[in-house]
Amino acid sequence: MRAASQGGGLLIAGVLLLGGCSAPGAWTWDLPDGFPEPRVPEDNPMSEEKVELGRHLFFDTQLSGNEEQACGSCHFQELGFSDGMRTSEGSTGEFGVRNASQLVNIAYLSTLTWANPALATIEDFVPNPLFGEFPVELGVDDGNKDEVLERFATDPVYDGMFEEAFPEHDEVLGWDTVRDSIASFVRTMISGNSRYDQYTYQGDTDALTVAEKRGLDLFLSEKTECHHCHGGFNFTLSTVTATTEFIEMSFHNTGLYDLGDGAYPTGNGGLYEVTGRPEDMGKFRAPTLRNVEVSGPYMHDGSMDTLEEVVEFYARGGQLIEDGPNAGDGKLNPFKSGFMNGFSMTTQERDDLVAFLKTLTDDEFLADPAFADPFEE
Amino acid sequence: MLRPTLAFLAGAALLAGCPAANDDDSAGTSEMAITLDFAAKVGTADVVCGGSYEDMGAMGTTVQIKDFRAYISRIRLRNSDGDMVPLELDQDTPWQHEDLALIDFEDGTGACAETGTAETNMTITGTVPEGTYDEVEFDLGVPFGHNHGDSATAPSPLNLVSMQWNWQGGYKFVRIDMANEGAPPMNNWFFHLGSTGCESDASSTPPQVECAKPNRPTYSFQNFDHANDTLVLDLAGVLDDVDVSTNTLDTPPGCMSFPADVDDCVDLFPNLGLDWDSGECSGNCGAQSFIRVE
Repeated sequence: MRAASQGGGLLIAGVLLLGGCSAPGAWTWDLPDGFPEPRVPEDNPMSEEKVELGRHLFFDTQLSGNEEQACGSCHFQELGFSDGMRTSEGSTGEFGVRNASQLVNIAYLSTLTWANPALATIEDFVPNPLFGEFPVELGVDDGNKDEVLERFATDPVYDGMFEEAFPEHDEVLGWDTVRDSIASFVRTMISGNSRYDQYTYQGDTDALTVAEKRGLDLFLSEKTECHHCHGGFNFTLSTVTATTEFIEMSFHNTGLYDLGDGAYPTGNGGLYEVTGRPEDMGKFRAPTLRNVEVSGPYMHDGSMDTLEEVVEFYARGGQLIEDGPNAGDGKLNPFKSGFMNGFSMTTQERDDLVAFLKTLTDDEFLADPAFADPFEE
Repeated sequence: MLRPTLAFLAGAALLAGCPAANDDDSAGTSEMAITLDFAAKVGTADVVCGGSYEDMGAMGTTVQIKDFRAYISRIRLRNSDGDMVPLELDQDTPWQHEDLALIDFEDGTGACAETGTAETNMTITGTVPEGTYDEVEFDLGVPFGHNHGDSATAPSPLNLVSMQWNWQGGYKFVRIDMANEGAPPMNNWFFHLGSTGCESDASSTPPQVECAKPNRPTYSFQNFDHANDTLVLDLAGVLDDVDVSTNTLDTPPGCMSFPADVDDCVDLFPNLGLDWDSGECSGNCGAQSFIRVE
């Protein structure tokens, strides 16, 4: 990834506008084979300087109210930028109700977070962990937000970085530039060199074992129906690219719970909590499956520990909970997706599916220095 | 002095690097614009997301629409000389690419929210040489040459994840998702038409030759008045005599066209004029009850 000269960039941008076909711009994506160009908001074009500033801010605990946490405190690179917890603890010790999403290829998501159709861009999303109150994550609020920004004005590490990242701004240090640079950095977290990619896009027919190939065929089959929600190059229907015209979202009730009349545990009703529509109960966005091997525990509430458990849940067509506060048979949830009918599966087929899922692990991405904590270097 | 040169270069790059948006007509032939209108109906009622439609299929089931989209391709019109003339589709709309178009009756609201999109499309636009035309013919589906490309990098309308199976299987030519009156979890009935029996090294690689069952019927309509007629996709017609009240155990909900789904598909395919075993029309495709002209 490198920046082209200013003049060339402008010229090419003009051609792009006229022709509507791809051409290299001021920012050149260094994309894995087979990957489309991500959609980038017009008012926040990519630049190397923004990405570098964003990387610093992402890992800087000065960005939380009490200087206890950074974005990177709940998003670890070696875990696909998830955190290995069922739900995560915020900077003030408060726990949320959702599993920390991995940050893998989120440049391509049509909506951010587990269940919010309104968060269409990373820029829309970034203020949530910064300013969110329910729960408090980074704990920036009206009382401390000026003080938090002031830390970056006086920290010599950031000397000139905001100016270089936002040369067109009169006021370079603000929550808009913090947001836009973090979004730019996170947008570069693209994973596309797993063994599955080597097999599918790079012509290496030996990259997968026989068992893994069987698992891939099962994954794509009408028997398991996995691909209907986890389809496409990024393994989620929730996908936009630079050329997308019609936005596809992806919110599904998978039958994880049915506390009665289709209800999910209070406070974790998914899309229903945003739209208020009864039929949206329990609908959550299908996450990408890339690097899923390292991003457990699984489901929106982190309630499943292993991929075997997850695959068996899908084979049953919903989760049966015999007793306790969440007792009920999710298989019978009236709002469940039509693709969640379940399927019969031998132990070998289960193991093949899990083996395939593990081929989506991209070791290069998980250790790429471009995404590493700059304060550890 | 620099500016004009750059502008010129930009123009040259545009010509060389990108397909032209609209071919200029060669001198002498004048073109006329054609708009084909489509509708999805049950009887006289439009089919819309979340709408309930009674008395569908063999068991008189009430169904709710959750998705309703179809690809139409290779459209030809018959001129006064009796020749079939290709409709050159406009290329400046995201609904059309080369000789195919997506017809989309769902607006992503209510019951269609799970897989749908906000935009709808009920027309196909293009040009033919000036003249009179009295017949229309087209394929239902994505042509083989486009059917097994990479949807991730394909142009609109071939870049919809929800309309593709995978490289080997290609696109869903028709997607009609419905909820029926069954008790959960047996409360859905989906119809997905597409090519099956596609042979390639793996499900993630494209086949080099046409699939064993193309399932891509060609329909023609005589005495077709392109200016006033509407091509109607008839929900009751496509479900005629099909039991949509229940789904065969251990198969996907409804008919997904693949061999193991035979029990849910075998009564539906004749409504498309398709022979289930061959994936082709037996004789011609005229004996179908899915699309009619109004």
